[in-house]
Amino acid sequence: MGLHRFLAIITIVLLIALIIAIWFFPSNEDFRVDNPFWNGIKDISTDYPAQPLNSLDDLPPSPQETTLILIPYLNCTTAELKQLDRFVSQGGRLILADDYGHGNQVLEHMGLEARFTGQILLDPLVNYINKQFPRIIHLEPDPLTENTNNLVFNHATSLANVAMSDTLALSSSFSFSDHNGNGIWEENEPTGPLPVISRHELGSGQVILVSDPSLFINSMETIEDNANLIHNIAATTPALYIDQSHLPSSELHHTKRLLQQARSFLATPLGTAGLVILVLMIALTPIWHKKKENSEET
Amino acid sequence: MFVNTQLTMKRLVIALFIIAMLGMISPGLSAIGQPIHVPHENPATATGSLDKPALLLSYSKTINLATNQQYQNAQDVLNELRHTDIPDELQYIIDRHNNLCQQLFTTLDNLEILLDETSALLAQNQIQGAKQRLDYAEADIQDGSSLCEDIEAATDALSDKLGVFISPAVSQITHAYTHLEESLERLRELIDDYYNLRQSLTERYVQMMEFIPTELSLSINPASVFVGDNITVSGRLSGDGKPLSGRKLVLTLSSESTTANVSIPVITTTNTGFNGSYVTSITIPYRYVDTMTLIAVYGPSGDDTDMYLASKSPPVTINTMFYRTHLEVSTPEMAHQDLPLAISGRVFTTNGNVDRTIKVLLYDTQLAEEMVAGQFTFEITLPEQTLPGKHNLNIAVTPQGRYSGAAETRSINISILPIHIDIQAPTTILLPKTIQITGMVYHEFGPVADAAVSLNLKNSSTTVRTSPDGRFTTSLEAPLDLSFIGVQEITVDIEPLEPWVTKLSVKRDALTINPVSTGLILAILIALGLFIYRRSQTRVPQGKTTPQPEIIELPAITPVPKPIYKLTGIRGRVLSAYQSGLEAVEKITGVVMTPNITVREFLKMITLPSPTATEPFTELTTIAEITLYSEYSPREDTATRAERLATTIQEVLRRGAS
Repeated sequence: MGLHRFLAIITIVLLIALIIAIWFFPSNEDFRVDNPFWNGIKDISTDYPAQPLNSLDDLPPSPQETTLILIPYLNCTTAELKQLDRFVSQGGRLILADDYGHGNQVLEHMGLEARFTGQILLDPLVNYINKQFPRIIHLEPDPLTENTNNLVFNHATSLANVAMSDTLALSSSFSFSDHNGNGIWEENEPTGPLPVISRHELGSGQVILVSDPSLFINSMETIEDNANLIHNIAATTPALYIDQSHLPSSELHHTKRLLQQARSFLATPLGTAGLVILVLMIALTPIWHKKKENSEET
Repeated sequence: MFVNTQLTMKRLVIALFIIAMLGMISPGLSAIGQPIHVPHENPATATGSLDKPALLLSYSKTINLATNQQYQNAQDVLNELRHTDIPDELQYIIDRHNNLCQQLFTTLDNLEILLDETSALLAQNQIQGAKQRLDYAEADIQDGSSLCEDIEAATDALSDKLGVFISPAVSQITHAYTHLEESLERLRELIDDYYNLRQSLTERYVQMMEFIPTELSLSINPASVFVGDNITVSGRLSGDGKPLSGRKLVLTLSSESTTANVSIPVITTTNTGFNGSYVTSITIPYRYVDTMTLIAVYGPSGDDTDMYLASKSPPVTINTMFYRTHLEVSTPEMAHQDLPLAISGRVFTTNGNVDRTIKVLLYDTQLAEEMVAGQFTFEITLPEQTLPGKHNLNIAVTPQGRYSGAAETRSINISILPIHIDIQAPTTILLPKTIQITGMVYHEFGPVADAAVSLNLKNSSTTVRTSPDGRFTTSLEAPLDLSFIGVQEITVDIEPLEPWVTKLSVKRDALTINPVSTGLILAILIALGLFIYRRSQTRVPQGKTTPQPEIIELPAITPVPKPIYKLTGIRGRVLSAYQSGLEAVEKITGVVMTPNITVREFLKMITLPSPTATEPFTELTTIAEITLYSEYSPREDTATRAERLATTIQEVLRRGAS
């Protein structure tokens, strides 16, 4: 076997192996709907008819009663903020689930006074495993909290500037917002009950703030009554969308998207024809070489 | 040497490729191994234990709430501790501590109410009931003190178990214990404050025992009356047997609260005349209850405050009359939004039928209001935004003068109406093609108009709305893609405008044939087939042909021109000698050595005319084979021998040919 042929074969084999590995290896990124591991949200997209959105452009033109779960770990552009505004004002329900991301940018743009404090909410007593897993035991009666007595958050934050009438869930009296991050309550640090879920009417729609997006991840979804809350969200909307465009992406994710784009291109008539021609050319190359040799001989 | 170099190169290339590929994968591996940091933790691997300082601080917090007289809040906070995971060895003492705190907070809450009531009574010169309350308060203070001591003992026991007394003085747990001690101290001070307040109220009560008691009488006429009519109220106020004139009296008319409404007392005032007597008139309010109670109260004011005690008349019962209304209603158990719903029934009273107003409400939203007399039937339409499920429909007859109101609640199930679709779509599709799809959407009451019908075939989709007769016609692009022949699903999703109609999703199979892909693949297969056929044609005759003497005579075969190699060294000499011998053999036999034939194969393929040529060519072939494929390096004499053999072959064949 010639060196060139050997190089070509080993390159093709390695490339194919790499593509197969990337294509089939599931995502392990936080809050990704195709991530089946503890930190993904595949279970929600499997258990409920939730549609992942890779761009806010894909929001429905008539959003009445539809629900969008937005986890803003990346900043929204001005155009995206306008899209969110339109979605809510036309009757959509935006569930803004944030802890340490850019949720306040959305709230500011929408003119709401409520804010995510961005400080970790700790509960040294009423917790699931340790103080980073606060139990949420004060839930106001609401269709969203039906059959829900007890939620468990995971490294959550709390809400500020929320009126009691807008509050749907509060942390326990023993919880506190750890401003200096030392894990111990100090005199100037606000103590519970602190609002963690709230509802705000806006235009024809509403904005629901959840101070911990980890509530939706696979490993948290089944703890205590978290599943009931998610069920209630899904049950009170005709269509549920989960935004994926404001999550940080890894190289694996970028590569997967690239491969998907390539596949989409190959599915077009142009791509299909190009691929077939390429295969044809490769298959016929030896014949072409043979003919060339023969013509040179004569 | 050449072979060795080639092998080394291949190994180097493999190593370089592995390094290059690892370099390409490595950014992805980092993502596989470690997700980007987001503040959450896998609950399956998280660990934790009871936060002891926080537990002591939580008791401090609840006791502080109690010392601020927020007893209910203190109890609520204490109840939250039920959600704490407590180790078994601490469970009993913590439960006991919590129970004692709960009892203390309840006792203190009750004590505060008793002292407030006593204070209010004494402020109105009413000593009746004050003594009893002061006695109860004394018992509560004793209970409170006792419970406080128990809590202190339980706190010490709990602190001991938590290791407070063996902890350093500057530790968190010691700090928390100090906070708790301070809170308990404030709790003791609070109980002392209550004790002092009770003492001062008792002193005030003893003073009031010296005041002149008063008496107040009350009578009504008539004793039975229709709602809306007036009654005459009269009576007399006296103190120590003497009439008290010009005193203000408060008359309170109350009725029992019903499930329908909470009764608010009607309060009116009047003054006593010169002989302490009073007469006034009261209008009976439109409250449809069987009895009402009237009471008159005298509260000393001005100079009377330090002279007379307050008095209250005995309560007088008024028999109230009205015409009771009865309502019978019939509603369907099931209904659909936007579709009329019939309500029928009968309104009647004990005094015959009169025109009455009847209202229909869905919770607090009024859906209809009608004037009816006796039997009634009317239709209502449920609001568009009513969600499917069970709802309460309230049908109420409003009160009207002497006629009482009546109300009935009916549970109604607003159901979702299932829809059906008839669809006509082609069963075979030649790609690419625009296919026509028609259909009709309907439910049991008729066609479904304006429903969104979304059709999907592979990546192609379209949406159309149904016409008023429920029909739709649309075309769908069946695009060209990678597929060849197969069954594809046409997915049809129907989303009606009305929320009370179900959504529907149906699938239809269609056989799709892609002539372009199929044709191209056929072309590839044919080309590959031809290629393989040609190669086999080239090999098979050469491998299987037995050389015949007459073939030698065929002059038509022209040897393929050989590339000219420049061979150097001993190996070069050997291979040059073989090439010379080979050329002579090819010329005489007509068999050409092609690149795919080894020297040994060539030797087997040919038949030389004489053994004198065959033997040297066989030996020359062996030497050439060793030189080409063995790691053995030929010596000088081997090269000389090869050159001699080649010369012998050339001479023998030349002679034979001539």
